[in-house]
Amino acid sequence: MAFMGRGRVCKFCEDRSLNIDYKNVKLIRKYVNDQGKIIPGRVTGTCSSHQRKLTGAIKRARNIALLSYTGNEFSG
Amino acid sequence: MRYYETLYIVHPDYEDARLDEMKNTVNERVKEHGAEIVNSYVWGKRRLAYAVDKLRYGTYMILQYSVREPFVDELNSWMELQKQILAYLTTKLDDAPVIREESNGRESSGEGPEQLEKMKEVKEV
Repeated sequence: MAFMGRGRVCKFCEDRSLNIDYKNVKLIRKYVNDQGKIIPGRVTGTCSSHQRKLTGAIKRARNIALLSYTGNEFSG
Repeated sequence: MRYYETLYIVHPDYEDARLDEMKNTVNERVKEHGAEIVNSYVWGKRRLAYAVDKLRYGTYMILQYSVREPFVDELNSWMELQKQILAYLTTKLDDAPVIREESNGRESSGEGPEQLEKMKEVKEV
């Protein structure tokens, strides 16, 4: 869903009602990989301004334990 | 006039009465700095992405307020001293927050109930 083929459009530009919020974990989780790393905008198609907001939101979510810094830590 | 949001995590074993008490303490603290509270509620109990103070779960509380003179540093240093608060995060809001209607004090924001069910499973195992 987050990863579209070539010629993709920024998901947040397409749908203006979609707010980037650090509390919306379901949405933000799509933009980090299994290791918890932020996926670059060139892969997801997110435009630079939205990617910036997204990065900020991911970092906030990590800070407050909504997102992991390193992937699934409790999987074991 | 700026709007701020403080999200803080309290101990997962706290029941409604203690959560209310905690909420009131924080609210009072914020009011002392001349802030006007817009929303203050329990967001819900969630599984933490990583252990905080060796705890795997936490109850998230949301506080939204407006204030003329920011006091984030003072609030942070106070929060740091509170044993009951595991973690906190204050952010500036772009727009005025929507005033939340008091239903039963608990919000089921999408993942809420699912999270609780997962928790039960874990406890049983």
